[in-house]
Amino acid sequence: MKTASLPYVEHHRESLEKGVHLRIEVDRAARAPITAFFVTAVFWLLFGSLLALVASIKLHTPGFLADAAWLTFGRVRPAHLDSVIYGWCSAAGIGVGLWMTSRLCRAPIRHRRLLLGSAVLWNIGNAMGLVGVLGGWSTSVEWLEYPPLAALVLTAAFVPVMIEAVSMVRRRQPGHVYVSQWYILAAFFWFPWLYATAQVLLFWQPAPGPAQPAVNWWYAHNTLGLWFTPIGLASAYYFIPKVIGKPIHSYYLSMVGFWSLAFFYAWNGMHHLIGGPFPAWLISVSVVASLMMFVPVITVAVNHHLTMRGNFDALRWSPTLRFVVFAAMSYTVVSLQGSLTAIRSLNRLTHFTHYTVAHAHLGMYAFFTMMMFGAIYYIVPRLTGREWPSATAIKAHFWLCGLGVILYWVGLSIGGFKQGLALLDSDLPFMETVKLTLPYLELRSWAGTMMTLGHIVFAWSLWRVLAGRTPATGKATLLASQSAA
Amino acid sequence: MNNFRIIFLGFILTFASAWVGLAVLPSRHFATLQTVQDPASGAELPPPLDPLAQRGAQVYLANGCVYCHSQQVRPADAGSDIARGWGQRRTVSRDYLRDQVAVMGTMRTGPDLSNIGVRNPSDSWHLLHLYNPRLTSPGSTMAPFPFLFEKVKVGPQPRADALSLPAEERIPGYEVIPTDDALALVAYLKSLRRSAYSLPEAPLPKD
Amino acid sequence: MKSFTTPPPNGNHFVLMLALIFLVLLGILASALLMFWWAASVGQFENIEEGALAVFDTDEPAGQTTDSFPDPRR
Repeated sequence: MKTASLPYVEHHRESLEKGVHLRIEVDRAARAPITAFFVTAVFWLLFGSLLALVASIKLHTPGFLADAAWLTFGRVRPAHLDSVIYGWCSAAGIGVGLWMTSRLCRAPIRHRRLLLGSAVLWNIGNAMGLVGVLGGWSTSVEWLEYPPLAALVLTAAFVPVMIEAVSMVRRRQPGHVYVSQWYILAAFFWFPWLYATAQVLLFWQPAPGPAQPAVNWWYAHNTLGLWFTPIGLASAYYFIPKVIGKPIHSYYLSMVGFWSLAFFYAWNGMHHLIGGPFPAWLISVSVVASLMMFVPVITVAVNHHLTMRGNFDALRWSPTLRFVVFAAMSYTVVSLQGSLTAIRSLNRLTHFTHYTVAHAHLGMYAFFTMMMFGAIYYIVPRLTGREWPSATAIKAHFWLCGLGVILYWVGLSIGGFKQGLALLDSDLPFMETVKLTLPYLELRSWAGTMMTLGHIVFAWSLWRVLAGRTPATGKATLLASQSAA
Repeated sequence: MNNFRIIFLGFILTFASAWVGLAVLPSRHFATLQTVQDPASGAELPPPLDPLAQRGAQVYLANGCVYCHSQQVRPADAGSDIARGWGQRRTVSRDYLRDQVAVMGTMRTGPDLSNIGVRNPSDSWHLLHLYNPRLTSPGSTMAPFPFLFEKVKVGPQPRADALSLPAEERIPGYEVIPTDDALALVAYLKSLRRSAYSLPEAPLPKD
Repeated sequence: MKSFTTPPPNGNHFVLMLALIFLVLLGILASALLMFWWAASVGQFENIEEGALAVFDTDEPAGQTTDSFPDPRR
């Protein structure tokens, strides 16, 4: 691509100084609110990882911490799920999404105090929710276990996020709108709509019993596909070109990817209920939509790969890129796996097994979480003007978490697959299906320990930067001093 | 493509279509479902839960039983549920009409419970199993629920509701008795006979 | 798997409601297609590839990398 003809510059005949000034203003305005969301996110990542380890150990060692009611598996497991979904993943997604929108709109964040309040409320909502779940007030609806009052707090916390996103879009510098901006804005509208609908149809004006799982899995799968996936993909579309300095291979393909995702993904939810007591058309629609997901997924994979082609050596010198590319590849794998798993003949084998749990972690961790790590590594130095403390720490984080999740996914998928085969054999006593999963569940605990160690390293790195104990970055502060005159 | 209003409208419309199709429509559709009358006994099907079992359903929810146990019997072509004896027929929507929260579940770390009240109607088995699953089911990895029970000092007479624990589990000088929550949970489990009766749309097989 | 083999409860009311909802869905689909047609007709799909350059700006132009590890000597 030509480096000389930048439409932004051509439209506005902008000087280098003005461009730099704008970018620094964007990063400076973002500093407090985005940092608040990142600190929130990393706190809940640590908390959620601890809960994960407890839950994982209990599955193969049921006597572990078995006396206390608040630590029983049936409470710890949903506490883990919700603290990582809403506490870690969503808070990180909000921070990354708002920053990318601010950068791409070239519009500084305006409602800083409102967003700080948002972050505080986000923490309060999650804390209330987790006290509720561990205290025995869980709703027992997957992905929605927080008592409805906590959910109200989270909903209120999200409002400033939407306000700021719309405000930045309206104040944007003229020029082309980038695909990441569409994904993020869409996600910021889809998520509250999903959450509000689920809360109303399940808790405030509950739908009849038979309808509830349909609403439940419409919500849960769409949160994955229309809240987390768009933010994850927006990040890949932004950071891959930004790091290697080469534009995305085909902008046309990115549009195809966006619209096919928007159209097909929302219909997938019922594939969690194949074989269940629902009208056949409802299930079939989701199976078809799940297979149609091949279109956006392959589109995105091809686009990212062709962009990276010839630049894979960048993985050696860019901390962000290794996380982002790992995540983007995981996205392709988990999506193709998901589409295939929706096929009825395969589903009858994998449904109800640990295979599904492994699949879920491939998506929420190997894709989304690793993507957020990469994004945060890029963004924080630009917010604070400080470098990360240690290249070794970053590499340790990457290898602990990357290898950890691969071990997790491979081990538990094999275990789940074998469990499925055993379940289908009606001559095999049920207890045998339990016994054969034990070594894989123990392996999962080891993998989870690796991942948790990686998180601790990451939290340490973040703390060092935020505490101001690392050197200033060369570029941003140098340029700031040049243009401040 | 740089017109945000168009993009906005686009992603609102695509979302709205699935919102109608997968959330609103099933809710409305199932709102028209009614109970039916058993032609033989005149009882309403599915039968209502008695108050103790209703309380037990709350205990089931509070302790997350759904994360290991499903409550749906799939048809024979979709899995081995019927062959495993988990139900004589598949469960259908109407079977869940009485549920305040439908706990169909998505994991089978433990067996399906749709018809556990048919398979296992013994109070004492359930209480012992909840106290420590390995006492009734060696090899089980189910969580024990000691907090659903109380230890009381042995009185002049052993209590009728005390658990009969094996020798190595007994606590000298104490008996273990179920709390109301434990009794409620067991009542709920015994009420789970979801596909034990015929429905017009799902008759039991004739044999 | 068969769907209901008996007549739906509440008979005609149910069928009417179902028909109404399908009409709504069709309407939404029609507006989406209309919207795409409109977008194409006003030139939203011209010069597509320029959009790819939006991530770059004057001091972080295309052709320049923007990430690195911190100094390994630390």
